Amino acid sequence: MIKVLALVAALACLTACAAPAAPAGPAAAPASPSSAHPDLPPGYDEAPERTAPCGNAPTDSLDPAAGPLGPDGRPDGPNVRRVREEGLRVGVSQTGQFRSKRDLITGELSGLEIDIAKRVAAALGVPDEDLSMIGLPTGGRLYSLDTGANRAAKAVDERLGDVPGVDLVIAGVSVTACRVETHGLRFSRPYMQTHSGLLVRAGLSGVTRPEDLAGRKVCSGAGTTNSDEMIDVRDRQRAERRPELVPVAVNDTSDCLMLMQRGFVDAVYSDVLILHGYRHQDPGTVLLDYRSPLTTKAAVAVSGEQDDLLRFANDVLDDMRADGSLDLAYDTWFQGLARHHRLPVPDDPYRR
Amino acid sequence: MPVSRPRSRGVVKRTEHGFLVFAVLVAALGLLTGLTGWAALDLRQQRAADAADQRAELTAKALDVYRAMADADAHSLNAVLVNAERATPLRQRFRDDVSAATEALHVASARSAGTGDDAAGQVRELSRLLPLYTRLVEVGWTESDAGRPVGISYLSNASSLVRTGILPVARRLHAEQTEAVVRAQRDAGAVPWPFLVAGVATLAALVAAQRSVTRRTRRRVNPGLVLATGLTSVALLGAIVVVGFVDGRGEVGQRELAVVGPLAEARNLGREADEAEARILIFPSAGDVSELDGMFDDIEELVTAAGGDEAALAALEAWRGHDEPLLRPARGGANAEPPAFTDLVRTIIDPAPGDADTFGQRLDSRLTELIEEHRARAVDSTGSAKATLANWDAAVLLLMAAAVLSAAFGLGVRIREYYT
Repeated sequence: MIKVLALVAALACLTACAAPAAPAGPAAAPASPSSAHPDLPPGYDEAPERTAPCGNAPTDSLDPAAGPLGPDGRPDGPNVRRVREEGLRVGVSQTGQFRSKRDLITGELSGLEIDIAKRVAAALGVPDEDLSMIGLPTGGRLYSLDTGANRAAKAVDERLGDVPGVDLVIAGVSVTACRVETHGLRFSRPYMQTHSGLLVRAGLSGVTRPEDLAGRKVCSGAGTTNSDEMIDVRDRQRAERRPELVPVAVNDTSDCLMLMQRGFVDAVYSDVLILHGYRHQDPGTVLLDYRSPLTTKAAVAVSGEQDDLLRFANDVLDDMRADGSLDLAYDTWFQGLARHHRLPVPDDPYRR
Repeated sequence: MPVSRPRSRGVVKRTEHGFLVFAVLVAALGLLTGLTGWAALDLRQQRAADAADQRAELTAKALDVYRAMADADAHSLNAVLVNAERATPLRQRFRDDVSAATEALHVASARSAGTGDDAAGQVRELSRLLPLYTRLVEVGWTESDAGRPVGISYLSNASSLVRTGILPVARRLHAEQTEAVVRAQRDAGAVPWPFLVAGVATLAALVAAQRSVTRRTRRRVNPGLVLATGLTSVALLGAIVVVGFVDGRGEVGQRELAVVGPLAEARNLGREADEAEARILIFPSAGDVSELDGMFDDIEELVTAAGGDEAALAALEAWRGHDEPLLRPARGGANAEPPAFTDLVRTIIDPAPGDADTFGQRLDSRLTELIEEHRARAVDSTGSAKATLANWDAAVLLLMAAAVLSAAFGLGVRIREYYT
């Protein structure tokens, strides 16, 4: 009898132990994606950090006459001759209203920087069909220049390997020592200078400067001096125990207007020429009179190993300053920009 | 205690008491067999029904959402690269894709209720993101039509929302539900060991009872015990055959799903590649071209892993060759002469020669055919497993109840002889 009971007990145990697995319980992974707001642009950051300070690499340019000249009196050299033979490739932006914008249907580019690119090509004798204007990828535009630093960076980071190679970058590149150091490039003489300003929604009262935006979100491009300035304002407010603004950084400054339209940010802090383009796109915004004390200069970026091309670009820009075409292009493209936001086209530093 | 032991032995030694012990033992084991059999087959029925009715459909709908949204993403971008006349059908295809995704989510929402896992949460997340995405695209188109670059920001954000928000959730839903289908199929076809052990023990007890009856009464056959043995054997053999068949169908289903998985992933990647082509032209980022090149390699690997359908591989090769101008920078051609923007637009938008579809759509169509073929077989096997198991739980319980009654009757007759 004991054996029988033991068998029954063993069978009961088997029943309990060998039953098929029950359906899986609740999964550990959460339903929502990692980001709480996947509808925000990549890189959206409400707690950006100040960029690391750079060294003091010289940002001065080259005198067009500081090297060999060709029969036409223009700077000459192996790179200039190569471009004359093979064509000129210029890296541009595609979304900069008035500076450089592409009509996606026709493929046509227009803006102040496109005028400059065409003028350089014309001076080189490069026909239109041999002038390639290439939209440069976000996060890699200055890697398009053929420099030792960029080649080393591409060897390490394969994502940079497909950044197309260009001869010149004319894409609203601000002149900074960091860029010279990081990319081994050189800048032409500036073709444009500007200061930073503040764009807000129409109807936002009591705001005349960044300090008035306590408790509000202010958008700038990540890693830019504009973002750093907003971080500094917030830190000052924090030190003085006053309500703080919230600096917001995004990978691409052009996302700031969209974020303001969607109500994610209250203001955009960037250079006034960019903000002027935004205001033109959205009449429901206001470009305030505020102007930052700092000015930034935009220049053509050229490989630091191609001095002849750099001198050539400077020569063309000098011509454009001299014949007034640079001023005219500026006035044409940025007409409607308030006078106090206009800064003169930078003069040739070598003529001072 | 010392008194009761010899008394107990004495009780069992008596013939009628021995028969009584057999009757109780057979009844207990028969009951245990019936209950374990009922429980085992009922659970397998539930798992088969879970696989056939809920999980399989959820898997299919997750796949539909993924494809529709990746397709919508590609069309949303292609639509800003062409003139109004050519943009109209592309925008309509975008809206059709969104409608298909909405419909799939509607069904998935109903099927995800009560699955006991995170499926309902994932479906809710997809349903939350879909209207956000659609709004971003519609605004992006409106702004782009007006020549305002902010439209590109909207489209870029929408594309990012699809790639980082919607598609990963749909992919997770599909993967988890496919796993759940496979798990349910395995459970439905698992050997019911407790039932088999109990059944064999019951048979052994019946044989022992029959031998005891033969030895003590000189009657060769006890009809009640014979019938009980027959009924128990039928219950055992029937259950083994049914579960074995279900296991076989489950294996077929799992094999088909194992092919559907890589094919679906290849199709998804194809849709993403279609979107990546336009993204590279409209808002390029460093590494995009290399990523596109890598997608083609991954698609080839997946199609090969799924059996290497020749038509699909040929369509992929044709597409990759056609995209050569776009891919050149990723193949050491960063300094090569770049094609004009409008030439690249034609490369990615224009249909393949002699066809109404683009190269990407050709591959998509072939992969869809293959997926539907294999999915139909998987659904068929899951459905037939479910149908085969139907009512077998009750049948086993009834057979074993009848066996217990029959044995009790057979032994009862012999026991009564000692009291009359």
